[in-house]
Amino acid sequence: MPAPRCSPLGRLLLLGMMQLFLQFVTTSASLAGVVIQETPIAFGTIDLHPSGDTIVIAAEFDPVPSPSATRSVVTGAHSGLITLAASSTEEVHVDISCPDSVILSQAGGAQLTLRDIHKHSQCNDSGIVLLQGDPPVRIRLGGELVLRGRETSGDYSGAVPILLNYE
Amino acid sequence: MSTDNLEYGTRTNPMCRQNKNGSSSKGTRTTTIRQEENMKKTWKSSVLLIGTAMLGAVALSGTNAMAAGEITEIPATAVLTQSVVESLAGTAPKVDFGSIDINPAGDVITMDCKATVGNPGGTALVTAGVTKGSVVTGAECAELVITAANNLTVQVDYITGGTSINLVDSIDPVGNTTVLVLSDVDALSGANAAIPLPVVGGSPGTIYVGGKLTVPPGAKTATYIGDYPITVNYL
Repeated sequence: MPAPRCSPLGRLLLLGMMQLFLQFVTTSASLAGVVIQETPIAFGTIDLHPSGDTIVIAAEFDPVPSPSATRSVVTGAHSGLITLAASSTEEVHVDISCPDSVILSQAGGAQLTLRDIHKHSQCNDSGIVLLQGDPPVRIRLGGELVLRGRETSGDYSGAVPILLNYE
Repeated sequence: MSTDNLEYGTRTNPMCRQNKNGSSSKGTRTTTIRQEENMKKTWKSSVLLIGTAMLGAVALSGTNAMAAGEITEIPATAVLTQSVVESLAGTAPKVDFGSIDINPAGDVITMDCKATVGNPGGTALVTAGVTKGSVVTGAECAELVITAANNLTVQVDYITGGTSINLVDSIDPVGNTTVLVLSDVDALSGANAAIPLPVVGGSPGTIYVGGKLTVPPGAKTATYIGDYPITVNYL
C-alpha cells in the first residue's frame, strides 16, 4: 500500500500556513524602536563640601527636580535622556533595563561610583509601548554620587549602559 | 471498520485526502483498515509538521525578540572641585606669646581669644594676662582663615589627642630641661566645640587661636617652640 500523499490543495494550504508562520517571524524581526536622541547624565561642577555630600539627580520624577546637594554647591547638572520612537507601523514593546551603578573615572585613576541609577531613572523593566505617530517617549536618567569629601578633584566620566529590548 | 471511518479520517484531515480503493470484500476491509492506519500516520505527520512549524516560529520569534535588543551607552560626567582653603594669617602666623620678661618665680600667661556668641571665630588679643607680674610684649593669637565658595560651618578641635603640649628650647632642647606647658587652647580660642563658626561662601572666616602658657620657676632664657595638631571639622 503506497503512503498517502497530500493533494495539491492540501500542499497549498500547508504552504500557506508555513508562509503565515514565516511572515509572523519576519514581522517580529521588523518590530523595533529607534533612539532618536541621547543626552548625557551630567553632575556639572560640584564644589564639594569638605565633609562630603550626596549629590542626587532624581530623574524618576517628572519634571526632574534640580539636582540636589546637602552642603555642596552644584552648577550645570542635569538628568540624562533617551528619546525613543517607533520605527514601524506595528506596536513595539520595549523593556528598558538600567544598571544599579557604574564607575566614573578620572584621568589620574581616581574613581567615583554613580549609584542608584535604576532607582533614580525612568527605567521600566516591564516595558513601554511605542506606536508610530505617537509622540516620542522620553526616558530620563539619573543617579546619585555619594562623596566623602576627600575625593580627588578633577573631571570624571563614564558610560551608563541602557539595555533596550524590543519585543 | 467501515468506509465511514475512512471518510471520517478524510474529513478530519483536509490537507491530505486518502485515495479510496475497493470496499466490498474482506480483503478490501483489511485494506481499509490499513488505509486508516496510514491516515493516522498522515494525520500525525501533518500535526507534527504543523507543530514543528509552530515551535520553529515561536522559537524564531523569541530569538528575534532577543536579537532586537540593543545597548545604548549614555555618558555620565562630573567635575569635582574643592574650594575650601585653610591658611594662617596675621603678622605672626602662629600662636605667639611674644617676649616674656618672666618673674623668676614663674608665671601663667594667658592669651584669651575665645569664642563668644557674637564672635564665634574669637577675638584678637588685646593684652596678655599674667598672674605674677611678668611683662609680656608682642603676644598675638594665631589667625586661621577659612575661605570657601560655599557656606560652611567650622568647628575646631584643638590639640587633637590631648589637652596640652610642651614647648622646649628651640636651640638646645636636650641641654635646657625647662619645659613650658601650653594648655586650655580650646577654651581660649574661636570656633571651638562649644561655639562653631559659620563661614559664608565667598567671605573669609577668621578663627583666633590662643591658650595658656605655664612657665615654671627658674626657667632659662630661650626661645621655646612646639607644634600641635588641630582638626578642622566642616559641619
